[in-house]
Amino acid sequence: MAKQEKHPDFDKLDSLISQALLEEKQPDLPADFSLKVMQKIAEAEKSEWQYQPLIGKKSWGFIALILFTSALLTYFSDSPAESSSITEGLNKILAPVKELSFSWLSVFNQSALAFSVLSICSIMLIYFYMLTRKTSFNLEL
Amino acid sequence: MAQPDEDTLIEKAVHGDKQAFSELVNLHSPRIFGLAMTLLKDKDLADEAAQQTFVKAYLNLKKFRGESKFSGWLYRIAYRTSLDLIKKQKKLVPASSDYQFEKLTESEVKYEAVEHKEDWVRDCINRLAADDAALIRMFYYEKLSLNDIADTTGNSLSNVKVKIHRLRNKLKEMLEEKPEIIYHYG
Repeated sequence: MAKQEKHPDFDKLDSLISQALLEEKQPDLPADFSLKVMQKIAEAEKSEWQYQPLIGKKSWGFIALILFTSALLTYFSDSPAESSSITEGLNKILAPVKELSFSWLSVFNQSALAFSVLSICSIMLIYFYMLTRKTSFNLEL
Repeated sequence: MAQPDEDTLIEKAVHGDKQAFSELVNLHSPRIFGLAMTLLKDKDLADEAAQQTFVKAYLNLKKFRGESKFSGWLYRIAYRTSLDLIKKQKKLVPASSDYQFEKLTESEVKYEAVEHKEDWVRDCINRLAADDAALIRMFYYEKLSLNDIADTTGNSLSNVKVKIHRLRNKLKEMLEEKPEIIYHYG
């Protein structure tokens, strides 16, 4: 044990505290403690599965796919008659990107697309924030 | 048949052997429960904290790299889990800095101090703030090094040294209410 002081009173004090704590009757463990722990572990493992598929690097690809598909659907739903071919569709998607360098407003004027993408991003961010809180246990191990 | 050593049990538990983990629980639960009791001063809460500690440990077992002792790692989880529970229960006894030792009246001191000096010392420790009592337990009972205490509590080494020094002074002051204890000890 590290000593901070060599004062005789502190030596006595150290011995006295150590002795008192050693002689203290340790609290009895609750009955079936180990069993309860193992049951809780089983429950925790069960509840973990629903978060598992979304955790990890693969999930970002999944989110990107959702965002891209949503954006695509939203964009085409504005003018379904014009979206007859993939080439036309791609041209339509690229058009606002081309305009991006000239005017930000021209992109954001397409309110449906911008609004949808932003909404989905916000929802996903909130969802992931909650997910992290649920699974991290604030451990800092 | 010889019992497998702790490293073997940990190795098995990391690979999902629940029986091995259960043995680790049996091995370490008294210390973990003791720490939780020191901090929470309530058997049900301490039970909950100790259980949560082992569940967290199991779920994070792969993060244990063996650089520190397994017992120390568990102790750290137990300490933080107990503090989290205290915050949740809002049962935190006065923080160290706010703590004012209340002098006991003569009528409250019912036992002969010299014969029951250990009881008196334990009583003084129990009257400390929960986190201070836990520090005393780690230092004097668990015989943890100052570095280990710093690691467990998340404080710096110098902070732990200062805290323990102040706690010894505080305990000395408390015990001096009954001078026959400290001066007649031994």
